[in-house]
Amino acid sequence: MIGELLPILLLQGGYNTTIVCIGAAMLGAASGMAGSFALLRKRAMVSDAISHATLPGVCLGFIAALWFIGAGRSLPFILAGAALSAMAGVVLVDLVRRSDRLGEDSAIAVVLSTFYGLGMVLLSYIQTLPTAGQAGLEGMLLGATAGMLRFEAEMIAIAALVLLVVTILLFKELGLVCFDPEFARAGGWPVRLLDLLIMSLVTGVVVIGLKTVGLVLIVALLVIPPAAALYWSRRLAPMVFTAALIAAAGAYVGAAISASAPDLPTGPVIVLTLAALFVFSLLFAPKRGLVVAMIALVRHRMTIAERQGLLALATRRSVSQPLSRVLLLRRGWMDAAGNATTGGLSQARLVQRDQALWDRYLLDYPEDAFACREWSMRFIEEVLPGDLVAELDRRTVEASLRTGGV
Amino acid sequence: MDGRGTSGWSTAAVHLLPQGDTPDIPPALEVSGLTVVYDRKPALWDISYRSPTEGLVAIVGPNGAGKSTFLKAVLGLVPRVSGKVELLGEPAGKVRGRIGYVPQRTAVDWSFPTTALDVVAMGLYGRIGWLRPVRRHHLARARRYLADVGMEAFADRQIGQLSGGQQQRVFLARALAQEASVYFMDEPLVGVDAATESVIFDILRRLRRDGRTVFCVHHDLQSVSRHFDHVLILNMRSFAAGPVDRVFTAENLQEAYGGRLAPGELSGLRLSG
Repeated sequence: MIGELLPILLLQGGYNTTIVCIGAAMLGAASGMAGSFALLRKRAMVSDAISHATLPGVCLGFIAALWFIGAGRSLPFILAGAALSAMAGVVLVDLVRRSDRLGEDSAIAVVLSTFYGLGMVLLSYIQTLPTAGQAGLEGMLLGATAGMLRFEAEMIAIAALVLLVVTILLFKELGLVCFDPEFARAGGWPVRLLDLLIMSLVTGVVVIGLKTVGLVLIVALLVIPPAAALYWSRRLAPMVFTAALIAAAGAYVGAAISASAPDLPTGPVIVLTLAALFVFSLLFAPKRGLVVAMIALVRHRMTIAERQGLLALATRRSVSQPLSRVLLLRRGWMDAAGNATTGGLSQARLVQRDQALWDRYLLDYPEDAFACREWSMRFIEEVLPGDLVAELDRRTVEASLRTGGV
Repeated sequence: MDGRGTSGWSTAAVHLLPQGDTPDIPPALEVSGLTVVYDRKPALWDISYRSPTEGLVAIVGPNGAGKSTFLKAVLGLVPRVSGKVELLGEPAGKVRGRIGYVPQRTAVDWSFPTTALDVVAMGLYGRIGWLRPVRRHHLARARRYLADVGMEAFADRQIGQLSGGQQQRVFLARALAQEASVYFMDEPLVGVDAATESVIFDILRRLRRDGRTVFCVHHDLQSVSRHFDHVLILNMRSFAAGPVDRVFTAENLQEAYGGRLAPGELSGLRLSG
């Protein structure tokens, strides 16, 4: 299998396979972007309801194609059916949610299971039909790129491209609605319409992803990439493009592996690839990854130990904490006998003044200080705006004059 | 009793007080018969109000009196059961580009992947227009508004890393970027530090000097007479409205707050009348 996989990954597996892989990558990119906006609008799980809601439509599309053109296996019919029933699913989730009795999560569970159940009943009915060519439908559950027709692969690639272009064109508007819908509406932006567009993009991804990823697992292609991307960026555009890249890579690799091993459904392979990328992001992303967080935690402890050691020096108390002693000795701020050096003393004064300002901040604005993660972790000038620091400074001096200190 | 009806039912006529405006300039905001219902419970009842053409207007009233709802109803963010709203003499939908809004700070998710600068740039979206991307010169402009609120050093911070006061300044800078004629601000001074408070009042004064109108939902009765020109007292109805020096009286407040203001709270106020 490895021997077959390499040429496919390098786009040398023949025109059909190449198109399937490129189509999958483009589907992934569109999915990563649409999924990002769904996630940020806090409607990521609606995509799971949407995907499961396609199944009855897939079956009805098959039956309709059988009636009208005599052969059930017609991708346009099936995808049109899937899109229609997915939209019905979205509308139902919205209706149930608006009834005010249930939250969106329960609404999703109700709609998802009902549509999926209905779809399974229709699917078993289709299997009793004496028609050949129904075999393709099971592939829509978990995805199967092996045996995909060339025109199907091209159709998927083109549709994904359209979704990508629409998302990029409306990037600014979608981001605005996700961050602050009230501000958007006050400014005259059609928030309902843009919300509907996000759900339509998701529906589009689900429908064209039926063949490649399958309806059971496509939620992973929509949700895992943006979730992973949140570890990599603090700005919207890089986050969304990272999500697109992760999703494209996952879908591409999944499609390639599946194409080289016909018995392996594509969806699970894609999900596992994405999961690996997610775990990698979770662990190793710079700034937000767990490994960096662990290192930061250790540094944080060292900062506290150093600051408390210096504060002890400033008030001529002995430095009791072992970690503080080690750090101060290493910095040359304290000699082996436990006395402050000249450099240590001036550093201690700096920190003492800084600590006084932080304490003033805590006294005067307790709620802000509680929420400030960097409270007394860095010099206050690096954290708070200059005007506020000046004000705190003034008050600190006033307070010390009142108590007769300094 | 100036500026206030004898009963809550018949206040409408009293709000059409002459405010010394030239008659051909329409008021920034004119509301008639505005009623808003949440879940079958009335939140605002038959409010009629005519604002001045410019200046700073404080909207005060007890908790749950519908102050935020009033702003949202005027801006079309909550559906109204009845009533007409005109901004700058036109239906609200026609003058969106001249309206600025500062929502309550709690209205958004501050862990959102965006920076202070990007949020301020959102105030420019209206003028950038549909489908066009935010360009470098837009960001340069947004940076200047950020500087106006003393926050240029924090332009690239993720917004969740800012303190409450800093977040409020970012929201204010975003509204400034809208370059609106009429501003609606929902409790911009709640829970902010003193330095932020004075920045916000500076900005409000500057907006007044530039001839703009600011409607500000305000919880701190102490600072109303010092900083605002007009006041609208709400308690589900429009209780009283007009210039601060005529309407912001102990009698009006005591009655609007249902006698729930402690004498100490009142005596600290610089009241008129």
